[in-house]
Amino acid sequence: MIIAGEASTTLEDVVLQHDVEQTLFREAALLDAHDYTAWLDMLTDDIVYWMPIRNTRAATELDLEFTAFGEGAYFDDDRGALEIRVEKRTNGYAWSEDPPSRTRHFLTNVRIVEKHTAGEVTVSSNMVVFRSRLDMDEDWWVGRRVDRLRKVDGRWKIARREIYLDQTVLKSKNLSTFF
Amino acid sequence: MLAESAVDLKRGLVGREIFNDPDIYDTELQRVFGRSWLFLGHETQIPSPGDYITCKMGETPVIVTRDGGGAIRAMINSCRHRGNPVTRSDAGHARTFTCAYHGWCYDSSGKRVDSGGLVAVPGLKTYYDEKIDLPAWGLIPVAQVGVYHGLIFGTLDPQAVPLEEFLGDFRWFLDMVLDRGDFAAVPGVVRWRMKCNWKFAADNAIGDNAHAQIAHRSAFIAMERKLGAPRMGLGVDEPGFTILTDYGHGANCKTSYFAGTNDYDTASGKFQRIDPVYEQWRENPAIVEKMGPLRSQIVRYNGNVFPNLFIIDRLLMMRNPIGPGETEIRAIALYDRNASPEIQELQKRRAFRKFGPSGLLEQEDGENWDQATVGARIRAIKDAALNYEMGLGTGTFVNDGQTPPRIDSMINEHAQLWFYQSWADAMNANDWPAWRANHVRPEGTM
Repeated sequence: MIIAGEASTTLEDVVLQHDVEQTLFREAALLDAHDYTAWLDMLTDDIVYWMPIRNTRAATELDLEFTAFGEGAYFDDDRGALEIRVEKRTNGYAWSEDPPSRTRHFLTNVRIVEKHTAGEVTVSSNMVVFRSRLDMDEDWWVGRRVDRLRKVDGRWKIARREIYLDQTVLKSKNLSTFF
Repeated sequence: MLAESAVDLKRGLVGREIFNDPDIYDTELQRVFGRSWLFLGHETQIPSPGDYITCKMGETPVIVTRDGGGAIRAMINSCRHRGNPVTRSDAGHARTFTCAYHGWCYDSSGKRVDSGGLVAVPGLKTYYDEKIDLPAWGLIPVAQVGVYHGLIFGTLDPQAVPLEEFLGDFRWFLDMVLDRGDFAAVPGVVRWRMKCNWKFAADNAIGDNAHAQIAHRSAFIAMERKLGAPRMGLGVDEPGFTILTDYGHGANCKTSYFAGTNDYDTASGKFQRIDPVYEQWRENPAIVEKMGPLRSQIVRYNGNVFPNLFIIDRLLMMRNPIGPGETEIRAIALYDRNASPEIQELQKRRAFRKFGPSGLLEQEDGENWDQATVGARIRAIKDAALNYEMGLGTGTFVNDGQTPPRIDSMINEHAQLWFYQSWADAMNANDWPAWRANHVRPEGTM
């Protein structure tokens, strides 16, 4: 993964940047509007949705900060698992989200860090997700997202999402939100 | 002494004040968390000498290490000079722990009286004229440390009964959980906070099977619709039993997936349906034999080692209080090194899919325990006790030697009352001998 590659200003890349950003912004808007059916439609059938667990480590052991893929994770979901989560959330009995939380997804620092063959790109972004719930509950989740987008029938879809939270101890009673 | 109204075993009542009174909380830290054997971690989290993890015993920060001889040691993570933590990492490998303030340096094995403990103090010669008695100023050890079946426990009280006595008959349950494979900790410790009193979590852990069909209905329906998984019915009983043992431990043991689908075939001794992620052990005759006929029938269980270790499936969750109104949960999962590689992978990757902050089931728990804690604070109705009457007067202990003391019912509030009465006994005892002499015994009828 390229952490900080050189910016490109070719017209082609500027258009690609716009296209990718608008796709991710649209996705964020769907989540904030609780439109999970449309959200699922933005994911590929082979999506990998993964949020590793982070812990505090000394500088010399920083490579052990996050769990590796295949180890423990907050989310390690395929499409089927995400569909179960959406079904759970929308079947009318999910009390942790009824009354629904109010969320706001903010995405910044969107960078296309790798262009693959076969029309796929890897996009790195910074994320802030705010949740207001009931009277006084407030949660902030801050982190980095690494998404792999794939062009399917002329539309970008999300084929892989990695979410790296900056928090090691979650201050939230649950993660009933999508990131 | 707790007020009589705090826990009323006969009438099935629990006072609201025990969930928010700061004086009661302070006593809990001393008499419950200061005395009980508390879960610290799994020995596979620190496989090699010099490996360490940090955790909490109640509010007390602790380092758990493996010393050069392979023994597990635990000490309080607080420098003897100014009290700072001597390591600020969650885990790692270290020969020494050096305080970041003035550099007092401790041997990671924590041997206080021997040559270990405090090994170096900057300026020992120049500033202290070599007058510090290094062996006397090592990190303060946790009074007693014990390992049961790979689970590391510690107690802050030198007077505490041995770990095996504290766990007592509940070892039958722990053996069932931990003999079903060759377990190691899944990499990744999940930690999250709830604004709840820790006891609402323990009350749920030890035996609240009535909440599942309501609180977790959305997840059960989703899994039924998407996976064809059997769903728990509303208002129906389930085959199984509740075990309750001295010092407040307890568990529910289900002998069928869900009511109406008792898929255990007594004639063949087999289940109609086996989930390999949880039950590949059934293919191992040695384990089946070790389980015995009764424990082999148990397909699901949930339990609580007093005061705050929740066990469900292969998950171990410490619920540590941070004040009367906040709890930090620290969860680890186990995977079976005897299982096939494919199953091991699923056991790791799906470890926190049902339970944990993102868990399909546990999302609702966080919300409910927070909200119960809010309810317990309502000043105007502080004397309106909470109702724990389900099954009251019908829970007769069976002591037939097949299991620890048990009540032949799965859905009841006996286990919660058991937890609260045991908690009250600990709170009312002046010291460990008094707790040992005076605590509720699993006999008669609840």
